[in-house]
Amino acid sequence: MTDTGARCGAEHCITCSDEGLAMRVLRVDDERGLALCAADDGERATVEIALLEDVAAGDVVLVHADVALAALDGAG
Amino acid sequence: MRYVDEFRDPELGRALAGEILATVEPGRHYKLMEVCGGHTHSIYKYGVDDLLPANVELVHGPGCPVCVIPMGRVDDGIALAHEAGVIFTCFGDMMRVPGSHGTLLEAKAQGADVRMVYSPLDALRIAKANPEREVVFFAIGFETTAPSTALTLKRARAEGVANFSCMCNHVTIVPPLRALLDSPDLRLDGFIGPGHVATVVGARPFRFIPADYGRPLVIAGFEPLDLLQAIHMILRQLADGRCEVENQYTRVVPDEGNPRALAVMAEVFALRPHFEWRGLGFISQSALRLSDAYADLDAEQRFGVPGVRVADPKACQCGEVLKGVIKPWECKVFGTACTPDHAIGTCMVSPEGACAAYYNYGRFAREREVV
Repeated sequence: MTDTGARCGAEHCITCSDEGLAMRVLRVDDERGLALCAADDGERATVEIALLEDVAAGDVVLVHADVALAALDGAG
Repeated sequence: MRYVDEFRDPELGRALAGEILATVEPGRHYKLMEVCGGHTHSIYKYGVDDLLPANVELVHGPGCPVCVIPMGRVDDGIALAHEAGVIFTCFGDMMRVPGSHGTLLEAKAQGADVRMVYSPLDALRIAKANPEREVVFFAIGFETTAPSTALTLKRARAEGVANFSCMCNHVTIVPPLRALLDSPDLRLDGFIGPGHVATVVGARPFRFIPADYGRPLVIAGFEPLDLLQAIHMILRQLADGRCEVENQYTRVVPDEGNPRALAVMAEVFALRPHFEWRGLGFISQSALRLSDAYADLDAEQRFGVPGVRVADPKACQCGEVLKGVIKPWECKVFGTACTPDHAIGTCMVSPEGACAAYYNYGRFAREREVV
């Protein structure tokens, strides 16, 4: 096995840095350009949202290395 | 979860496989390259290739950011890690990539303060928590992770974090694709385009592939049905005599990419005149350095690095694997001297590397029998 840590699971290996993760926005801190997001498995992360417009709680965003790169269309 | 379950439906997968079978011309051999290491990983994890006709061959491209880092850059990183007072931070897989005198993990065992982070922002947090130490972030990745590094450097500047710097190894996807297409030992019929890189750069940078080289490219997502649909779209283009860039991954990738990400990258980075890729050699304008405006945050300038070029080990055939010339199991050391636990080549280190994908999902035994 690799020694890349607990967050390197079968679905995503974010330590190798090039794997995207769909995460739901839980809370937005507009002042600091950050959002608290949760992955499907409950894993939470503070994510930079400066590269997206109008991010709101409930949105699903594609996250690479703790930065939201795209909003996923029609997430409900 | 939405966006996942519906793209793993076995019934739809079988139906798509049937459509692919109906589209291919019997007697013609199709070689399609998936550019992105994430695609390679998905293909072998879900057995997508098992659903394809025998005359459709998938070739694995150079799109794993760990796999393309040359040994000399690892040596430079290790030299930085051994600097007095430095906390050296990098993604986990990078710690196991061999340089000419060992890995960053071994440097850690020898006393260097090497720490694994999940993002550049984590590295910045370490810098803020350790103001008396110098914190270096070893940045790797394509256009998917470059925005993250760029935002972190902007944040470091804005917050006045003076003890943070970055050794930049970010690479760009288009120049190696052009190098592959110019390579005489590789004949490809089409490309599965990197979905998440396209999220940042959009579809436009790939248009040279149909325009200049007459090959179709379909930008694809990472679930099994995404890949099957993208393969079908490429084969459909070939059957119709069309040749263009199509976007299968429209639920994520806008045609124009992410303009904000491109703007922040343009501010923080500048193109290097050339950069060495493992196995591919030097490729012009294929990598990023920090721009002059951010030169004070450039670890290579702050500390200086040896910058010595190191040839790849003779036994390792990562270069041919990265170019898709040979399959991983055709390498002399695959699964014997080179395993994920003790990798000789970078393709065996990262789960996105073609060799590791073959090894971890047990694909070598079956294919060896075929051969």
